[in-house]
Amino acid sequence: MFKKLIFFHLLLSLFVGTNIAQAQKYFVLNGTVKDGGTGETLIGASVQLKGAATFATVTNAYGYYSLSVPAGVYELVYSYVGYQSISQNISIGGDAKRNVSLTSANQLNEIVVNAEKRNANVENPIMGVQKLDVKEINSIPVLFGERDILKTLQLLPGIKSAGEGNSGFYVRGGSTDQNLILLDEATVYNASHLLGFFSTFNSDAIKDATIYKGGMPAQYGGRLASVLDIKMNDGNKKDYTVEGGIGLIASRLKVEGPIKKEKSSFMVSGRRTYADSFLAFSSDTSVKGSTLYFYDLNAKANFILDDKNTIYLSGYFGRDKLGITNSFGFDWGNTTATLRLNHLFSNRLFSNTSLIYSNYNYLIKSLLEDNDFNVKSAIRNYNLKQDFQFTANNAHEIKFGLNLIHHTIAPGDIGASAASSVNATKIENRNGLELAAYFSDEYNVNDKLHLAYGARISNFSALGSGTFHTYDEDGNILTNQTYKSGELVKNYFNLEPRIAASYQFSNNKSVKASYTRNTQNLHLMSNSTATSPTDLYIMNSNNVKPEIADQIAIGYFNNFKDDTYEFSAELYYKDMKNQIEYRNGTDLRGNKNVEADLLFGDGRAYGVELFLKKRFGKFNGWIGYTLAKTERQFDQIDDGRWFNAKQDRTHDLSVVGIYKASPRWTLSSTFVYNTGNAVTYPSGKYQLDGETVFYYSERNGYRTPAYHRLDFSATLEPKLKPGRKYQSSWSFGIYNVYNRKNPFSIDFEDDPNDASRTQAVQTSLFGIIPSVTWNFKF
Amino acid sequence: MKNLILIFFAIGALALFNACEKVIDVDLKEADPLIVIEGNISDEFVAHKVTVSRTKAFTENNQVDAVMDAQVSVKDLTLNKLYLFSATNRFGEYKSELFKGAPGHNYELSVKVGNQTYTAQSAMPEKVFLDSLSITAISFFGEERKYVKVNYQDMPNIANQYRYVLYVNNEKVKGYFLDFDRFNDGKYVNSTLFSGDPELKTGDEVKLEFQCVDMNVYRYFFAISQIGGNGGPPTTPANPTSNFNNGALGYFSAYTKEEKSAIIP
Repeated sequence: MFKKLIFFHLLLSLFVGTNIAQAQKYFVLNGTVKDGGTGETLIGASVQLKGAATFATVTNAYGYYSLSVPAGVYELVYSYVGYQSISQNISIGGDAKRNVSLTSANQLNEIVVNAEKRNANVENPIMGVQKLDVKEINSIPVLFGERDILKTLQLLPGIKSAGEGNSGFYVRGGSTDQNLILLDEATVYNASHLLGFFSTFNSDAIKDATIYKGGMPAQYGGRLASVLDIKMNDGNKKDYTVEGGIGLIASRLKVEGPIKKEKSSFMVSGRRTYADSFLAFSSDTSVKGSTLYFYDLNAKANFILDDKNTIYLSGYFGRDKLGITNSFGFDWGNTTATLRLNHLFSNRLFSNTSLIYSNYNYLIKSLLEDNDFNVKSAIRNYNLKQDFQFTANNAHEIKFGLNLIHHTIAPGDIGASAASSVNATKIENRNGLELAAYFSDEYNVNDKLHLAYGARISNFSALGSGTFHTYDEDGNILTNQTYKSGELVKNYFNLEPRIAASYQFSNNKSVKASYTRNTQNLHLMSNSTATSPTDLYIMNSNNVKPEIADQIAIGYFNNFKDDTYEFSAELYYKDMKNQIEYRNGTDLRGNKNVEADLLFGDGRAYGVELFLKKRFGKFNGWIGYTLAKTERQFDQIDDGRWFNAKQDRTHDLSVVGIYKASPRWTLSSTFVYNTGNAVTYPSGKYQLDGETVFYYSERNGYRTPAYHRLDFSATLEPKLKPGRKYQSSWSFGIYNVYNRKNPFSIDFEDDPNDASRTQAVQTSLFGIIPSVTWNFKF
Repeated sequence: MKNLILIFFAIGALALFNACEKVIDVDLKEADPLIVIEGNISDEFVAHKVTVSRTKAFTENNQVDAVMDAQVSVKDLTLNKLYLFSATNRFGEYKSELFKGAPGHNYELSVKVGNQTYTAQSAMPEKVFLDSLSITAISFFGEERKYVKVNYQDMPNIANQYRYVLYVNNEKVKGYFLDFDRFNDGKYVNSTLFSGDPELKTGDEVKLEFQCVDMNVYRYFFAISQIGGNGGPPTTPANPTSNFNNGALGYFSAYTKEEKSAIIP
């Protein structure tokens, strides 16, 4: 039924489009915008045709644009932040194609402030969206000097760190698993290394990162809280370059260049930590053979076949490895692969077809005598995606597409030798098929009113094979049913409407409103205060229903001082259904009956986010502040009262300043302050069998002390000499400048010096930490 | 297996940084006192013990706030036989006459305090025999540590839950050592107890109390140990699910018991 509706709508739009075209003689101008130095396509570059009326658009994820305009004489302006704009006169009397290259400010060695269309943030109806500038990321101070997209993201309002030095993040009251993290469209299931202290994204390989905190466009779906869309560099189409860096924790190397000049290129980027290299110097043999490291490898290639077809192939492979000789081995990591074909059906219809694979798995090995075993666990998906972008006329930009995903979760496969005290067993795999279709239209009703509306339908089928149970209130098995491979266990259908509108009072002032529904079919089980590589994913089943979130938001956007400053205030309310917790004492590891112990409840989150940014000039930076509340309600927890979610933080403030002190020196500093985490502390104690046990009266009813920290960094760029390709730069950083002992955990225990008393002990992780990184490029 | 993972986390964390600890003042709420009952019945021929107390504020000392005037009894539901308990001392301890619990029997503990009666049931599991204790040495990053290993033949085709209570030089080691045979049903089990404090030294006498407990009791102790990080990262603290009704804290366990000792070589 709904599909019919979409097609009807599409037809209508086409009809309306051609109608106008006949009346006014509309022609199409299309093409690609690239970086003049490297040939990389530019995402989100602005294209404007200024004539009797102004027509404008931005380039899509592949640098492609298409505009439908009436015949006439125009000034055509291409611009992109950090690049010098191009302006040319053009007379449109028929369809035209223009591919252009912009020159980056880096090559000009001057600050470019003449980017046109700087009020896009005011005009665009989409709310709660932030695009990260990769250059900005590189100059912001960070722990151990390891620049990190996810940690920079945490400095934006509405996005909170999951913990000290942690790359996990919470968006508008959602949990970490409610973020959809995409790397070249592939889902990254576990975006962190080494217990969360580093993200899996090596910023050398990253071209663009955009996060949607609400009002997600309809092409995205599958998670409740946010979408983080990260795109890898395509590779330099003009020259071979080698770039790298040596830091405290890790070294990096990137090689890129043309395969065939202007036609095809490749990029390979790697990173590896070397903390364990020092272990080799130990005289102890068990230390010598131990491992403790992680690595990331990003690779991408693209081939422009002809005017109409481009192929992209990209992949990511990363792994953490911990091991102690003859005792244990533990490694985990993500693998993703994306094959894409861009095809132009016509100058109005752009198509992208993607075939995507992603996998996260871990392997634990115990080599202890009489107790050897290994545990393998994995989650993976195969994803076929077809996206269309249709330029109907200049008022409508239509996107529609289909998405078919096959999910498999292998919760645990335990292997052991015959002599081991462990039995070899396997926990049944779970399979699911997700079919989604979407339609969206960005509709410029008039100069002041802009709409983005659409819908996504998502159909999730839990499939056999496997034995599925039903349970009573206490988690005892009521019924068993066994399904054959591919047999339907349970089907869930969801319609997700998305609508956003902006109304511009003037060129630099607007109000916006949006409503978004999101659903989530995969759920990460974690009741813990930290994340672990072994956290368990489950999917919808006969017992587990899709999580659903409805979010409404309103906002005020204002740019001033000639768009140099950007201010926004957003107010949101989010209602969440089918949230998941589990009973006390549930052991998630190797548990064949996890669903017996699940509890289902509701969530709500609301808040206000203020953001003030100075975008250009010698000194730039931003202040972000969030006032928020997020709660959960489960009938079986705290007698059904609403309680603070662990990610509830009342106040959250980030201040970022970047100062270009001289052509060579860039100084930057960040300050963060947030209310302490909502935690559960004891409200009493008792003795059992000679040990103190604590009594808890309410879930997350206490707060840890507030968190605050100041970081500083300085980057020394090389002197630019014409004709010299080799460049090197230095980054110096200080994390936690005033050595604040922020709480990581607070534990309650018997006083070791006086067993008759109890005490609270606070553990802090990182004091003041200096860092230095040397980067090179040739 | 859970201990292995735990050790991994500890090593990973230590290798990364030197965490810093300090004692802090926390302003904690004071909940109204609640009844706490700890009841144990074993298959030994002894006077079994039930302790009744009340919760205290965090800032008070750890001495038991004893309830002296409770009426305590245990009923063998299988034989329909009642055992009365009487108060013995000022620590809230109530003791029965000498009797021996039997595996396979269901027991119900009933404690009346004022007008309120609290009851809990526990089924004494089938008895698994402790074969031996052995000592194993494991080297972590150049430091060799000794641990006690518990060796026994698990009973096939039924779920067995174990609780190990470890004593070093007659001092009970704090923490909870628990096992559940879902990974080694019917196998000859060697389970290493990764006890940290005190470290085992040559000449120490270790004693192990080997209990087969029912599922509720296993989960009760497992829930407490999870708060401290057993089986992965620490979980959000919560009261363990008690087998008592009417809101009493604590547990009632009917278990089988075996004991063995060893000297650390």
